[in-house]
Order: sequence, then structure tokens, then C-alpha cells
Amino acid sequence: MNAPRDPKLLYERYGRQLLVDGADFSGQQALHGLAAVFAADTSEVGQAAAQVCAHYLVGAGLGRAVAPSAWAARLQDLDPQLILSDNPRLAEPPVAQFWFAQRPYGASVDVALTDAAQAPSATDLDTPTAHTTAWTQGATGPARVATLRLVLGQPATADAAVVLGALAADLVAADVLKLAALPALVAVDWSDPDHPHIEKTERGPQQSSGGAAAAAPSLLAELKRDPQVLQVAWSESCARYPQEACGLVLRDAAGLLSVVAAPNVQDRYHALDPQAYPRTARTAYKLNERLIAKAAEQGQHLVAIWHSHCDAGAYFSAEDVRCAAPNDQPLYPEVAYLVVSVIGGAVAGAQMYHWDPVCRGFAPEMQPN
Amino acid sequence: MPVQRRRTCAAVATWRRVGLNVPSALALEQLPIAIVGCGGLGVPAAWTLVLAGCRRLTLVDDDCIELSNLHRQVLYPHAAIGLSKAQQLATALQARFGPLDIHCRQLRVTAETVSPALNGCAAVVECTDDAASKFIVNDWLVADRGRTGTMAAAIGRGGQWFTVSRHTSCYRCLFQQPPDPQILATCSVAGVLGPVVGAVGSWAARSLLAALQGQPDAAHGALVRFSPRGLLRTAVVRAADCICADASYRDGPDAPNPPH
Repeated sequence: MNAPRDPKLLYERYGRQLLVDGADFSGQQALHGLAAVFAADTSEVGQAAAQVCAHYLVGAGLGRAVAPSAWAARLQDLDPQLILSDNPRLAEPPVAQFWFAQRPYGASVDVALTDAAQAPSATDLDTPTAHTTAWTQGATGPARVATLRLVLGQPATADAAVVLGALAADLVAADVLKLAALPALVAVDWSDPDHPHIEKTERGPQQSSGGAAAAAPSLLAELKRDPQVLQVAWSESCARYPQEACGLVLRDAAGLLSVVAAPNVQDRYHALDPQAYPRTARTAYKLNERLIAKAAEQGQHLVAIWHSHCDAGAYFSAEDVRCAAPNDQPLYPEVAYLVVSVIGGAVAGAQMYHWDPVCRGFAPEMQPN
Repeated sequence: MPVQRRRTCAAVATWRRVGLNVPSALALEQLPIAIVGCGGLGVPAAWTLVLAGCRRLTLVDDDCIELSNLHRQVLYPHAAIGLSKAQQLATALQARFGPLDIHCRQLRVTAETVSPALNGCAAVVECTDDAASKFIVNDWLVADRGRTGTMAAAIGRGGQWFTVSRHTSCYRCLFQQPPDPQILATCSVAGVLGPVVGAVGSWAARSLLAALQGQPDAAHGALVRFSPRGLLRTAVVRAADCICADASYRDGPDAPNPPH
């Protein structure tokens, strides 16, 4: 957590923001204590929106930013007091993570906001056992996840980046400044010129999220009920680091969940055909799909495929989308994808993603409060 | 689809006036667009226009950067406090996007200065916090037939924008005349949230681009309001006694294209 800012400076610089109905100095100091990680897919709109969002959050008073070094220096120009890094590991909670992506319907941003009270201490993060145990008990990890969809009726081009980035910054700034709680889902629908509208789903245990993926009961929460089940994925992810680990989540006839590890055969494919498989197991995974058929023969039902990201967040990357849904056609539409973030050899977080048939993309699973 | 056809005609007329026949991304590079007010709304509007491919901009603002601006005018570095907004916006855009054809005009738009300030521009985004300026720009759009413009405003956690072209109602059809400045809330009283201004400024620029490219847009001849409660569109009908109801404006030939 950063040292609080000088109140006089706060008023001089953020006076216009502090005048907004409901804003106060404590919210402004909270924003100064927040770290934000800005990441995007390779699309022009995603990359530009990450920059826009970073600029607006830093302008609003963000204290720490993790951003690509290609443009991070501009953030420092905007606020010389900003603590800047290109290493996500330095983003100690409270932390907001952004993932911007182009979608068939427009563009979207996934936001994960980890509050300080629910986050592990820096010591926990450095000791895998303590951290993973705490995580599986639900004490840590992304506390609140939100998705903002900008629906344009076609894939968004770069000029939509400023709207998307600014709206994403608004979601988090309004939450931290205590103006409005982070909603679960916001769909800004600009596809019908006669009826532009915003659908907002507030966070709450009784409320449906509106999306097919989010309406389903949380698979990750179900997995977390028995710490031993997820421990298989955690241990394998740490053991394979700095290579990606992968495996399956299966449900037996009695309804019990189990996690199994599988060999990552990416390196073997890369060696045979480096043109078709340019990535190694450091940045990609490949399962032997016969294992899925074998599990089915044994009466096990496949519910999710899991893999780890090394020194990267638990986001669903463009490569993950390409593998799970080549040409926008999901290979296993009913199967979820669990991504485990391993940073420096320790598990730092995880997120479950489901195929959303309405938006034809993968959406993060909502976590129960 | 008569409404759609009318909009397309308006856009084609604009393209012809600047010497272009076919609206395309390439043509957007050639189109001179003015941004009046390089503050909280002007910065995201300029950013959006350049991301969309615009390369010829005229930036109009007589103001200098202050520390209290930086929370929402996010392209200005801290070191630029005290310097001209128009000049610094041009510098920031060129640092990010390479060489652009930018004209800076350090003046405030009034009834006298509006014509020289916007001379040679095919379209305008009005982004000042001065209500009177929006009416001056609106009147210039009506007087100088065939131009397209968007007026944007933001305060607190919301904002609004309205796109005017020859074939739609104008700003005066909705508001008749500028309000008394005494009763108008400003950012220095009601405050303003930076990301909200960013979204509104960008939306206004996107609305202008859509109108120029002949695509239907929610704010074309309508007021769109953004607030924490959502988006609200109010279609505005051309008022019979408004300056834009003049048949020579509505149906007459385009004004000659002034030199840039």
C-alpha cells in the first residue's frame, strides 16, 4: 500500500473529482492505494483500450500501475508520483486486473478487483503452501469479477477503444471512490441507433447475471469446497513451472468432482512441426485428447479443462480462445476452462471461463459473494 | 428507409465539398475536422478521431493547462502545466501517432471569431464547458451549409451529445437559446469524474464520424444522455420557427468549400 497523499495536493489535483456527489478524501486515498494491471489481446482495439483505461485511472489518482513498458512511461508523465512496473508480481493487493479483447459483437473488458481485506499478505504469496491453502479455502483470489461488453453489432475497430477504456476505468474508479459498487455485468448496447441502452446487472446472491455463463452455478466455488481436489492442479502447476501444466476436471456418476493432471505435449508438437506449433510449453499447452475419450469410457464426465499461465494473470488469452474455439466454433461448448496463474513458482490466482453462446466468446465465471 | 437515405446524402455532400467522391478510410485521412475546446471532452474526442484514421485536425482553445485539469485531461503531462492546451494536445497526439496535419488556434470561439477559427473545416466537435459556444458553433453550422457538428457536454457522472447536420434538427430546435450562466452548474461547482468525460467525449467524436460516413447514429438529430442510470435518447424534431427551418438551408445548394 502506498503512503497516503498530502491532502493539500489531493485537493489541488483532484478537487473537481472530490466535488462529485458521494466522493470524499478516503475514497481518493483508497484509489491511491490501488494497483492496476492492464492487459489486452493482440487486437488494435484491445491494445488501445488498455492504454486509455490506464491513462484515465492514473489521471483519477491510481497509485500503482503494471503496464507494458512500450507505453508505461507516458503514465509517469501524467503523474510523476505513480509507482510503475511491468511485472505483475509486484501488484500486491488491493489490485484491479483488466483484460481487454475484441469480440465478434464489439469488444469487452474483464475486470477482477481483489480487495485488500480478502487478499493474501506479501509473505503468503511467497510461500506456495500457505497461499494455496488459503486460496482454496476461499480467503483470497479475485474477490469480485465484472464484465463490460460494448455491443456494436460487429467487431470493434480502434476508434471504439476510448469509450471502452474510459468506461472500464469508470467502473473501477466509481467502486473505489465509493460512488457505485462494481456491478457483475454491464452491456452497453450501441448496435441499434434508435435504442441505445445499457443493461447493468448488480452484484448479489439472488440476482441472475444475465449471461448464460454467469447464470450457471459457480463451478470454481464447487471445486473449492474440497481443498484436496484443487490441490492437484495447484501442485502440478507449481511443479511444472516455468512450463504450463494442464489437465481435466471430471465428474463421476455420483456427481463428485476430481481434478487430474495430464502431460503437456506441446513441446513434442513444436519439435515435429515448429511452423504449425510455434509456441513451446512455456507459453502454450496441448492435451492428449485421447484422455478425454478414455475418461468418458470410464464413466467420467468432462466438465472443465484446466491449464496454467506462467508469470501471467489468470485471463483467457487470445491463444486460449484460438485453441478452445478455432474459427469461433467451440470444440467443447459445454466444457468450462480453468486458468491458473503461477507467478514466480507460486499459485497467484485462478479463474473459470465458460463459453457464452449469445456473445460467442468466453466469459469469466461470476464468484458468489 | 427514407431517413437512412437522407443521412447518406448528407454525408456524400460533405465528402464532395472537401473534394472527395467516395467515403472511405482513406478519405477520412483527408477530412479536416475541428475540435473546439481541448479540455476534458476535447482530449478523448481528438484521441478517438486519430484512432479512427483522421489526420487533419484544427484544435481551438485559448486556455492553459492547470493542475486541477489533469485528472480528466489525461494526454497532458504534469510538466505541461501552464502551457497552451491546443499546442500540448497536438504534441501529445503526434508523440503517440506520428506526424499529423494539425492547426492550433489559440482563441475563444465567439460570434466574431467562429468563422476564422473554423475556416476550412468540414466538421466540428464542440467540446467546451461554455453553453454559449455551442450555440455559436451551431449557428455557424447552419449558416455554413453542409457542415456536420457534434456538441458535447459533461458534468458530475454524466454527459450528453447531439449531432447536427443539414438534414436534421439543430441545437436551437432543442434549447432555443443559451441558458442564463448564473443558473448553470459548472465542473468547478458540481465536480466531474475523469473517465465519464472520456467516454462522453469519445462517444461524441464517434457520433460525428458515423454521420460523416453516412452510417446511422443514435445522436444524429437527437440528444443522447449518459448517466449512471444508463443511456437515454431523445429524438429532436426540427422546430418550424428555428433558423434551420429555412428552406434555402435545408434544400438549397451546398455552400462553396473554403480553402483549408
